[in-house]
Amino acid sequence: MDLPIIHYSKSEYIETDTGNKVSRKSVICGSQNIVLGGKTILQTGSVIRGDLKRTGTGHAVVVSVGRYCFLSQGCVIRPPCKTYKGVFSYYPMKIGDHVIIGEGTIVQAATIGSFVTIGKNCVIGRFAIIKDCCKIEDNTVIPPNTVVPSFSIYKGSPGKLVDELPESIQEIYEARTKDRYAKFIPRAD
Amino acid sequence: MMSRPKLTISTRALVCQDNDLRGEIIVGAGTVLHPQCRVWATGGPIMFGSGNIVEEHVVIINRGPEPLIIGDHNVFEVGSVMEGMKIGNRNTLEVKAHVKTGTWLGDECVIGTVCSTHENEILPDRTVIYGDKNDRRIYSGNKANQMSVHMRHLEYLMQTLPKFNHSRTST
Amino acid sequence: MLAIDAPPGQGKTHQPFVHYRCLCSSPGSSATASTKSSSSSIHDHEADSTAAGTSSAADMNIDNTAASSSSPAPSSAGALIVRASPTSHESLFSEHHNPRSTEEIFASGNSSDEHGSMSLSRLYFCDSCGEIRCPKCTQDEIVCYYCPNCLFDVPTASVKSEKHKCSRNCFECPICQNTLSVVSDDPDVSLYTPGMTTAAGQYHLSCNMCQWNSNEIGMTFDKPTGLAVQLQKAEDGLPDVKEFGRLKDHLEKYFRVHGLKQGLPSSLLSSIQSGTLQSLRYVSSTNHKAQQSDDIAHYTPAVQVVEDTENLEKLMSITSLDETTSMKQRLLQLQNQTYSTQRLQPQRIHLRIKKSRRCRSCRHILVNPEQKAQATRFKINLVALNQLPNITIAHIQPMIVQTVSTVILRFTNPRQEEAHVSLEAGDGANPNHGVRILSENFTIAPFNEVWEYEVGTLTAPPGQAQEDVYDKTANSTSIMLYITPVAPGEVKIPLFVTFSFKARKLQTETGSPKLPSQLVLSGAAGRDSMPPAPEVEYVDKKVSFWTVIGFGDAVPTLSS
Repeated sequence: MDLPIIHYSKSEYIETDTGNKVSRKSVICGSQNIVLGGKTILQTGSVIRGDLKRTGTGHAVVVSVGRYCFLSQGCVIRPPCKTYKGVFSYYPMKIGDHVIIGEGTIVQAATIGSFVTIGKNCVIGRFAIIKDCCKIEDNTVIPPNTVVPSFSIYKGSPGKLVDELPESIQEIYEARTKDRYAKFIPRAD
Repeated sequence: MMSRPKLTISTRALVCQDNDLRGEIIVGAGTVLHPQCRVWATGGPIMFGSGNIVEEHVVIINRGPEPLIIGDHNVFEVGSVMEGMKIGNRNTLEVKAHVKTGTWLGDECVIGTVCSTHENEILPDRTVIYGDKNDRRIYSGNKANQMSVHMRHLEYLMQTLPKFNHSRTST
Repeated sequence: MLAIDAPPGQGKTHQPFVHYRCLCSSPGSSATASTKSSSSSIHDHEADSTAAGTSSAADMNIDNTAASSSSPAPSSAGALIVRASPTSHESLFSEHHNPRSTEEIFASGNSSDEHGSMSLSRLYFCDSCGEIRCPKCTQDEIVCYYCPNCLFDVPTASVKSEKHKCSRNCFECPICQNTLSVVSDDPDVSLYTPGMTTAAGQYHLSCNMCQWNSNEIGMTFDKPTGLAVQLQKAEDGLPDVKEFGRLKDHLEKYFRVHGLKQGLPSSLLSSIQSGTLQSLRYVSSTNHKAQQSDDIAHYTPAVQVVEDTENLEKLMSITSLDETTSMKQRLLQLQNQTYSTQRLQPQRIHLRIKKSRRCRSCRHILVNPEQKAQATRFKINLVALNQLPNITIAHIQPMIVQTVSTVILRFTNPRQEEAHVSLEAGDGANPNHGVRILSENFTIAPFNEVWEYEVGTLTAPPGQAQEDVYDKTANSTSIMLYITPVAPGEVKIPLFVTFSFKARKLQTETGSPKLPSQLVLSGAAGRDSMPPAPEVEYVDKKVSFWTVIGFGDAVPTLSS
């Protein structure tokens, strides 16, 4: 089935000049440390903690999100933290292009590649690395420090490989995220 | 109809604004409450020890008449729910963990991600609950690193959070 | 777009889907059925090419419940009736009576639904044969091996000696099979500074799910790298590995004398059970004369097996389930499948592979990934998604028995050339829902990258009169179908699609040795007489295939 058109009320979302649509009811801490690639949608209730940054001065990017991403309602994006050489710090987090993160998912990964779909109510542990072209099913728990290689489908708790994605998945996900962005339009009133 | 919370916050504790606090809450020294958490002391008071970390979307509820005593150096990660009766020291409730009503937690327990305890049970020290079927085991508790990591985490939060969030004071 | 996001929580109701059928999945049987199925697939193909598509639907078993007498006679002459054998019917029914959701079919690898058809995302298209290939019609070959944890490319030569497992620092927790991390006892030490003097035994493995660590079994390491090597010595020291080595040395002399191909010594054969080595016996029976005086000397094992009462007593005194291993934990540690959790050891992580696919009939490569493990690009990627029209259900009205519902199908053309599509509804499905296609022949505009940068045109411009299609936008055309379900339950209709387009002539077909780009590169010298850009020759190509389109469940009418 084709995706239905999702309407939102114009007053609820801010649209930036690069095409990002950010809900006013999303919780963005430390917005100066967050970079959104163009045409990314942050739905109501999503939380991005840009205030947890690396110790040290200077303007650092804490969370960078790519283009055509879709962060659903209630998802939480938090940078991961650990002690390294005696220093405790939070580390920057990078999310690629064309990434869909489902409702209620908590993401603390170190990097998420491009063309990734993450289901609802997932938990991506600290310093997990999700490479390009992956799919994480609903209700999956990815333990900390896990590496999810390309073209895998992970499911369960702890997340295990259950299947492989077809070779055409990059085009499928790209078309899907672009379509999702195109169908997210303000209500006519 | 939320009554104003009665907060007793130690001087070295950090309770951010933008929290949902109800009832009588006592926060010990060195404890950090992130923004967006919910602490409801509806039945009886909630007493935090020192050095606890409560992250966002955490729900701590005390419905029973007795006070809920939370020990020292516990970590409540994002989305966890604490409805139990007592918590000891150095426990970790991982993301979306759930401690059900009437449960007592000992010391150094780890409730894993999306795991839950049963109701009205007493968990011995160093219990680990993990996996989607809530498997349990007792681990050796050899987390010597954990205390030092925890102290550094607290230091960091004390320095960084005030830069981006307002904090509450005692009422 | 592809039917990926089915609405959740609908239990046993069926979701709409569009599946394409590969020619290997012959009428009503799986690819592993008898030879009758392969012959019937050839007949199917011939029937297609004579454009008697509707009649060959008679051979298709859309229904998976009826007996063999249900396939009706074909309506037009000249078509072949191939009755699927009764055995294939039964096997079909027994294997596939659990309908699966679209999400599962999309997600599951090589499996198809009960008609042997699958989603377009899983199919390939062979250019030279001009046919759809499903994963079963392609042959897989291994391109490279890599570790799924450290993403390290393992050279093929060392894969076998490392037993297909990662030889670096990747281990699995014996309790919960999660990846272990290397942890140092001292929090100030980093794992990545080489050359730092460390206390002996400072590093150990730790699981962050079940909090198991290797200190519990006394396994510590001196340095944080090369852990597998440090473990290898322990692995080699096991008594049964040593015993196997000794046995092999003892027998090797005999193999070298007689040569392995001539068969095993008769004394060895007689002591082995018959069923498993029948082929070897057959081989050796032809070499009897060599078997006279080659009995092997008696071998005394160095390790004596004693009555194992200790294990038994320990098992009988178990008080809690935590002390014994589960089957899964036991079977992951094959070298000494232990009953006690105390003796479980971390296992090295199994390697994964990258595959290339080849068409089974013409041996051309369909999919060839890059050699590097971490690259997601492909050198060759002939997926059906880029060659055939993508059919999606754009709009669907709820299905009620004996009521006409309107369905809008959208065909998207991925090619750079304009394409022409003709449709025919399949006959002979059971239950045979009424289908009326409003536009049986239409064209689809070519794909143009310019449209990618426009925000999609969602409001439909008025349909062009000459083609009577519902809508035409960018590179897709939508048409209307009227469906009248005749029975409640899942509504599935077969649709025969013929897709014609102009393709560039392949180099081998034209016989000309140079591609246009090579002509340009070869420079001006001596080529002035030739035109700078030769005419690109197009050849008409036509691909026909069956699709099965499901529209979800039909609700019975209130009156019935």
